[in-house]
Amino acid sequence: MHISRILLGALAAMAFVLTAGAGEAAAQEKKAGAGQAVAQKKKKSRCKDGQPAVVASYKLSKGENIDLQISESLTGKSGDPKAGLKWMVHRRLGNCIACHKVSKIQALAKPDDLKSLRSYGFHGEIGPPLDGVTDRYTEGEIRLIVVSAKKAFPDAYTIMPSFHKKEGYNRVIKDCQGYAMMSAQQIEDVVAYLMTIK
Amino acid sequence: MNIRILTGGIAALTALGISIGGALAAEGKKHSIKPVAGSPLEEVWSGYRFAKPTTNQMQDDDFENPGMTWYDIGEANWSKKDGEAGKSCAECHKTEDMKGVGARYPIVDPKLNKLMNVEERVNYCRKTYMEAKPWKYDSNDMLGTVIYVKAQSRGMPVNVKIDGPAATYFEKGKKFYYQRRGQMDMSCAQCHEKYYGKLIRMNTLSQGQSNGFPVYRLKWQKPGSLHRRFKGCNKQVRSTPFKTGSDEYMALELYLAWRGTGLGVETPAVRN
Ligand code: HEC
Ligand code: HEC
Repeated sequence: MHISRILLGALAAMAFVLTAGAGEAAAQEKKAGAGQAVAQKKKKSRCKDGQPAVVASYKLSKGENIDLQISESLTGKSGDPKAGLKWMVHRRLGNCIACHKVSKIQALAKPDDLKSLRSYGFHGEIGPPLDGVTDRYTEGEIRLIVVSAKKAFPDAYTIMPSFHKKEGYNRVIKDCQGYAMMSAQQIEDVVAYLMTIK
Repeated sequence: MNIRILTGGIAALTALGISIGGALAAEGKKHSIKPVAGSPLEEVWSGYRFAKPTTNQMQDDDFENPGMTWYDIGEANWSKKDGEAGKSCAECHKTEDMKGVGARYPIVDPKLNKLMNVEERVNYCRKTYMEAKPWKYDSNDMLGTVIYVKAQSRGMPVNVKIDGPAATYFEKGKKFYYQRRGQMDMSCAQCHEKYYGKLIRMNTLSQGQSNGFPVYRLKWQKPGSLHRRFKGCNKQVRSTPFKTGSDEYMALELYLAWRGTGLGVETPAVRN
């Protein structure tokens, strides 16, 4: 017992030296990077995936299942469902599966491939599963939900972010100021993918 | 160092005659306790409950708990002379006097009329009595010393004062907690009050309780202060964080401690 304690202590001390070393390296990096170069690198790290500074204007009309919808495409064209899938699992763009189960996406995960498991296999449970979403909403309603969940669920105090809104937030971190979470094209792609979910 | 022999605070709890919902103390960490009057929560859970079983095992065994390495740093610091005055903590305090500090802080110091957490207290003593330089919140010296001090209260129920001079800080912290922020437009409450216990991609949301801080986080490979955690949660929703030790985070710390009233102090807890 005593010996193992000493052994463990020694191991822990070694681990400590390692982490302390890492901390120092990080501190040095930070010091070196006080200048412009790293400020830019940092900017890249949070909103770096082509988040748009331009948001499309859109017209709200009366919905069927919820009060409002956006019946026309934000780009005037229909989206690409294959790209939509990509945005939905992307950690910095849609990241929809962080909160929603989508069985069709989960089915893409190969159990023996860690990368595909991490991309498609794990989903959150904050929002409702999106299976059968086209039975519950029109395309225009789905578009509004993704563009501005707060307008779609007005009383819900919803946690779902508004993906196509760039202003009116509180204390946005510098790298993301003036940007929306997804572009009009990306929204249309996601809507197109959702329309394939039965 | 008999604190290491205490298994998860059982002894501390029985010694104090406190029983949490009648459960065994070891289980007390796993079972919910009743919230304090006025709490928005129906049940209060430590982050212990939402961590992986293997992570809990590390926490339960002081020989395995990697946070205890920093406890040792704190213990060494306790009697180390520092600063112009050439004094150490031990010259003014007995370790036993620290019992209860981890459960009742942050407090409003009546002389300074200021809300203080343990980190601020440590730096106050260093400055005033030792004439030593302040430590940064997440330096190894500060983490070690805070862990050493708070661990003296392990198993004791969190119980902070929120009336009198603390009331305005409490209200400020509460407002912070419910304020949406960042590009994702989320509040603390949305994740930790409304959806605790649910998965957010690969993480299970806890109630975001503060009773185990500084916690050793496996992801960090190091213990971290509560204010570091606040910064992380702010940045996660793409909001500009505040500074460690800022008035905003100090008030939030008080409010959060109140939400966890009755939870046993677990410092240094281990989290995923
Ligand atoms: C942080 C959590 C979160 C994220 C991220 C999120 N959602 Fe949601 N979503 C919700 C919640 C919660 C609801 C239910 C409304 C409510 O109660 O707030 C919802 C509702 C919906 C609905 C209506 C579902 C139904 O059957 O009623 C759709 C469609 C939807 N979300 C699509 C998306 C898409 C597409 C994305 C990504 C581009 C996304 N969500 C990202 C939390 C989220
Ligand atoms: C987007 C969701 C989200 C928001 C908003 C959020 N957090 Fe967290 N928080 C997490 C996740 C995920 C973790 C890690 C798992 C856990 O312990 O819940 C975490 C962990 C914590 C912890 C550590 C708990 C422990 O036992 O180790 C604390 C404390 C905390 N959050 C407080 C806050 C506060 C205060 C706010 C508001 C300023 C906040 N969180 C906002 C997602 C969030």
